[in-house]
Amino acid sequence: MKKVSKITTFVIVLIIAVLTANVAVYAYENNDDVYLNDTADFLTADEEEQLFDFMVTTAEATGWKIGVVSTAEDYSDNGVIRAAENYFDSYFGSSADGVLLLMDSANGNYVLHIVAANGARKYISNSDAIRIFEHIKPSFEAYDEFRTAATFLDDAINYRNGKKLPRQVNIEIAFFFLIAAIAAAAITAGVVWHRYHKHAKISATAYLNKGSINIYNRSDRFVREYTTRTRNSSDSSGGGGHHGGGSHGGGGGRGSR
Amino acid sequence: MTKCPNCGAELRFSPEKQKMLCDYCASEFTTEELAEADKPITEAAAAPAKSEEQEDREKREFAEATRVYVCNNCGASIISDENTAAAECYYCHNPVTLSGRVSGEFRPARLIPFKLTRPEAEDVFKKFIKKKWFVPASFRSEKQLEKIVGLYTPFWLTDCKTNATVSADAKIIHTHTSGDYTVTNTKVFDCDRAAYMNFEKIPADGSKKLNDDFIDAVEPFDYKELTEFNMNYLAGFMADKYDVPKTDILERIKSRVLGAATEVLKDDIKGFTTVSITHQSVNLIRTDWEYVMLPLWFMTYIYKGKIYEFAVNGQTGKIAGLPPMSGGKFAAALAIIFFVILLIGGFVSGFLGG
Repeated sequence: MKKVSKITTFVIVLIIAVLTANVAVYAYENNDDVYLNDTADFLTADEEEQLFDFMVTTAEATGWKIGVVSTAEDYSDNGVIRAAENYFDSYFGSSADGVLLLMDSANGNYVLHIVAANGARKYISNSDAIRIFEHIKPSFEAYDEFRTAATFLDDAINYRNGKKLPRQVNIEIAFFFLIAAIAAAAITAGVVWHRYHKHAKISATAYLNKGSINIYNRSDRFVREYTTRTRNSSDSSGGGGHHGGGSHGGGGGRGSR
Repeated sequence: MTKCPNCGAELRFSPEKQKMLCDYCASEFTTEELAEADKPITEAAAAPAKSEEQEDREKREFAEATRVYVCNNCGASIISDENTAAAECYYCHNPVTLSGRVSGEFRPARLIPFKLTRPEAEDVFKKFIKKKWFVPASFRSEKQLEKIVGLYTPFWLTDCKTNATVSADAKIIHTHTSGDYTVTNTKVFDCDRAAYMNFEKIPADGSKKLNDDFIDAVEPFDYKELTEFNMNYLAGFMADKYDVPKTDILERIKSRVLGAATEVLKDDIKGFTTVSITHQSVNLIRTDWEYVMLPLWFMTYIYKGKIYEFAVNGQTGKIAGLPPMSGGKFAAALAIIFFVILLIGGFVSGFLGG
């Protein structure tokens, strides 16, 4: 009898332990203001819990609906916009104000897309969303999805409070202008130097008696013929931004990791 | 013996080249070219020349009515009429000394009288300098204009009959797209052109001091206004005595004719996408010269030890000359261009960077 009692006690303790553990793993519960969906299983249970708390805080601070979704699809640019907007609309409704981050990674490539819906668009424009993408990209490329999402939430609060991220300089364009500046200065130097050091050449054709021209040999001999084929480039590089439309805006970009 | 149609020296046959050669001016002629050279270049050239007696009389009168001043610094010989005294060298601004009369051979056959007055020439110069941003401020001094001189400059006007040849690689290129490929079809041709052509009155100055490219840059002159030389035209002006004989300008004329003949023959190669010259040559098979004086408002400016020459065509007002350049202004302009583009780049890259 004592043995049965011990077993019963053990089972009860075990059930309580399991139930307690379950409560620890799924301590958060999505509500009307916050939606966390880690389909791709990027986050640990602790990270999910912490992130959810931060999302709740963000929702309170901004007055927006806050969503973070991870997937492992291989989206096209338009596909990821549609997917992110569908996640937002299906959970919060299409007229809700808010932001949602979609983190997607498959086959070594990734795409991050930020949705700013309705009222949130006043604070986060498409170019702001691309700026946030550039801000969170390094964390995602370093496989730190928790930091990626946390940074996104931090940025959302800052934008809601009017603190925008500084503009990032596009290095490629800056380099192009540096080369252009050097080239323009060099061309100007060449032209001016030439004008101050070389006299204009006057052609002697002005003294040619055109009526006197007697062309006595005119021959054009065919020598050879050749054909070359070059493949047209159709490569497209990663990165860059894509934009939503309608009452939803946003942006993001893709890359590989 | 056959005489060289370019310089009058005797020609000899070269068995090696199978051509007639002139040892004096290095001209070469084929039989066909010598036959072509017999034909006059211009109608004027075929006209009867003045009698020897008349020419002698004109040369004597010229010698009696002119004075020569010599610059002991640069060696310039300045001719003036007997009533116009020269005090300083038009070229280096040093005092000149009267050295006597000039020989009659320096009398030009014809000249173009000055049409542009001194104030008009000064205006042309002022406008020219005003447009030159990088000229040092001290260069714009009004005192500079006091040194402007009306100078009849010696020129050899050359009529020449030429035989020019050109060879070229020409291509017809067609491009079309086929699927993912751009297909380029190229047909290559060897093209040859050869022609006789005459040039009339190509000017070349007969002064060693004057930079040839600089003097060429004030061309053209309107030869319709060439008139018989008369001492009255010299009054109030200077004239430079030539020191480059006509045979010495042959190479210069040849070089100019080569460029022009190549241009003409290249234009005749038609129907191709690209034409690139692989060989060009010109042979002067007959040359006739006329010694004339052409009007230039001339000015030299000595700046930091270097002589800067300016000339305004005394007939048309066209100006030539290379002013000094201020290194500071030049560097500042380049820096402005560089930083303005960089600034625009900063804005654009920041804007596009998001």
